[in-house]
Amino acid sequence: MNNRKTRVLVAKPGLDGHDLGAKLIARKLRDAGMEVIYTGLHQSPQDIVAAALQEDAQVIAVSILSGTHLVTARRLFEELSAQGVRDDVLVLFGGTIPVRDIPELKEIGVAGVFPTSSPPEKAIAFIRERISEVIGHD
Amino acid sequence: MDDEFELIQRRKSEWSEEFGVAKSPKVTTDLEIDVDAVHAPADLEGFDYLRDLGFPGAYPFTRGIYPEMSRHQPWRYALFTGFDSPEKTNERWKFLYKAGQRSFNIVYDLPTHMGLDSDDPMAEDETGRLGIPIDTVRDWEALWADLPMDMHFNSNIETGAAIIMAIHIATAERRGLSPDKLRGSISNDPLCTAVSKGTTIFPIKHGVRLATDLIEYGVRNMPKFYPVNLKGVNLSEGGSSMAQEIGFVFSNALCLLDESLRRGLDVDEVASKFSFFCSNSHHLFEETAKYRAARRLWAKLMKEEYGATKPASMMFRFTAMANPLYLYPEEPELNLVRGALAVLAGALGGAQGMPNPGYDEAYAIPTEKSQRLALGTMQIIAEESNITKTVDPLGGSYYMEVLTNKMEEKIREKMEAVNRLGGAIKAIERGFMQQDILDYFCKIQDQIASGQRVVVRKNKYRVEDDIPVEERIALHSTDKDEVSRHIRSLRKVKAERDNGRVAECLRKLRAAAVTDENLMPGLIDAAKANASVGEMAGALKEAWGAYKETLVI
Repeated sequence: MNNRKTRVLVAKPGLDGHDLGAKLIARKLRDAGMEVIYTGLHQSPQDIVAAALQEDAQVIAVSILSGTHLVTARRLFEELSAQGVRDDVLVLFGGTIPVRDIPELKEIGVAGVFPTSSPPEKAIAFIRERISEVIGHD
Repeated sequence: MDDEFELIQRRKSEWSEEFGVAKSPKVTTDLEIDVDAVHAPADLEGFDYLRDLGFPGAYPFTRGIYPEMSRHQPWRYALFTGFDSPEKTNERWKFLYKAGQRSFNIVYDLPTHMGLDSDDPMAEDETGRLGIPIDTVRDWEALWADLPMDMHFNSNIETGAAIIMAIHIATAERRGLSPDKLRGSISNDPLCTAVSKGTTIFPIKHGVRLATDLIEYGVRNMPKFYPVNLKGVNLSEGGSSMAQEIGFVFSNALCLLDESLRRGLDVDEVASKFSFFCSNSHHLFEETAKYRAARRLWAKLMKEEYGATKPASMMFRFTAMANPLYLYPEEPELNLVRGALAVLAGALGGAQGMPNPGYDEAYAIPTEKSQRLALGTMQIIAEESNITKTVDPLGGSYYMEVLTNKMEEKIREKMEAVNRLGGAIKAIERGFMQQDILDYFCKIQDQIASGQRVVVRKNKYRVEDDIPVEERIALHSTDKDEVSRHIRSLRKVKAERDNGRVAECLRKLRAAAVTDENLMPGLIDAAKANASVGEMAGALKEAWGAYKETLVI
């Protein structure tokens, strides 16, 4: 059992400035005992992956409300692959995501999708359940 | 009179004991204002009708800014519209115009908000998604095709307002309309986006300078136009309480007013051109009280603290919108009811205009169907329900007056907290407004999670069905071919215009940005030369740098 604290990067990609969801989940993950780093707004996929590597995060939680989740997910996983860390992080997406897009997001590599109105507890439980998949990869 | 007050107070206490009311659990409003089981004259000790309420259209405007408000004419119906391309939005506008709408609320896509062109790499997949993409005068002409450009509209752009206004002025001139003929309002509030919404392009002090350039230009050249429409709505959509929304938006307004006064403008010239845009939940009485308190407080601030003398300078003019934060994805049709209650609060609160959001607003931009229902809802409340027969019908209700007084105190407390930090710019740069709002929002979310705050179908009276929202209702989706066509039209403009003239305009703009010169004439020249939003904002960013947000969680 790895006793290291779970480190989560909460990321806001693109131009979307709706950051309430990101800030709320950041706070809830922190209250649940995880170490949380929030990127702030307007991050490119390169910014996000660089921050995740620098902060040694095992989880990237992306919040997106502008509808650009599919393109963002593709770009993010391209960058994770380019950096050779695709299997070292658990990627979560939350925000205004239609149910019909969830299979495609999962196919791209997103581990868990939490559309608007999902209780934060679901994401917390998901991370706790799946974190062992990425621990030890770094 | 005092004897009568005492008698009522005594009887109320006796009643409260006799019926066991005194022992029941405390009931409070959103702002933790204690609410009695029933309110009576004794709760309004010191209340002075003529001083505290007066008559509508006269100081302190508590009951309304106009003598008869909506008795003979409804408030402005002005739905938020903007998507795909200027051409597609123009089609929807014409539909709404035929359906009786005589004012538009323009919504821009995120690249336009951020001062980026539609073909900018950062704009990938964002162009035309959440609003209209506007790059050059060509787009503005397409947007206004077949519609009168001197009609009323509100342009919802905060930090890039001066640039969009330059495009508006340049386009109107091509149609033979000079700036003095133009009506409407524009957000032009770079402070609210730094607190919430995140579409701040320039460092705050430069953003405030640019906003003030537009205010100054408007005051001197556009007598029918309101060059600033302060966005309380960004704060309330960003999770604020009622007191935070009004308190902080007033602090932001005073920052822009002070900046204008420093330029030698007179308080009556400027304050008479200020307007506001707020949003409200369906907490009917509290939100009505919020608007009444805001009106009285703004009038007092302008008259007593700023020495305004014209009534128009003391009027809190506002648009009210149902806050989409309180529209929920569970059984979305129920949002029609929430929206109707919120419209009622705006109407009873005395709004001048309302854009009612669609019931699908919680996940997408509204469809034609949801906009029709939103417009019809307002039209029923305004013209069928008889609520507009008399002005401020809730005025004089003991409860409403108690709430209005308390609300005014709570708003003042928020303004004082900002003042203690040295004003709006410092309070935002230190993250105070952002943190204060986030704390409140998280508290409300906890109340929803615990069930203390009821949200029907979400945390109470749940009906389990697995039909996803997108199968229940038809949702808007972006027309990608239309967006591609729009991007091609931008490239065509850039290829065909006089690029030497554009470069010269941009060079002058950059040079003026580091002086105190008003930037509006330079921006209008650039717009006339078909310079794009991205190029104009880019020139200013080269001179000023970009905004860095203060992070809070």
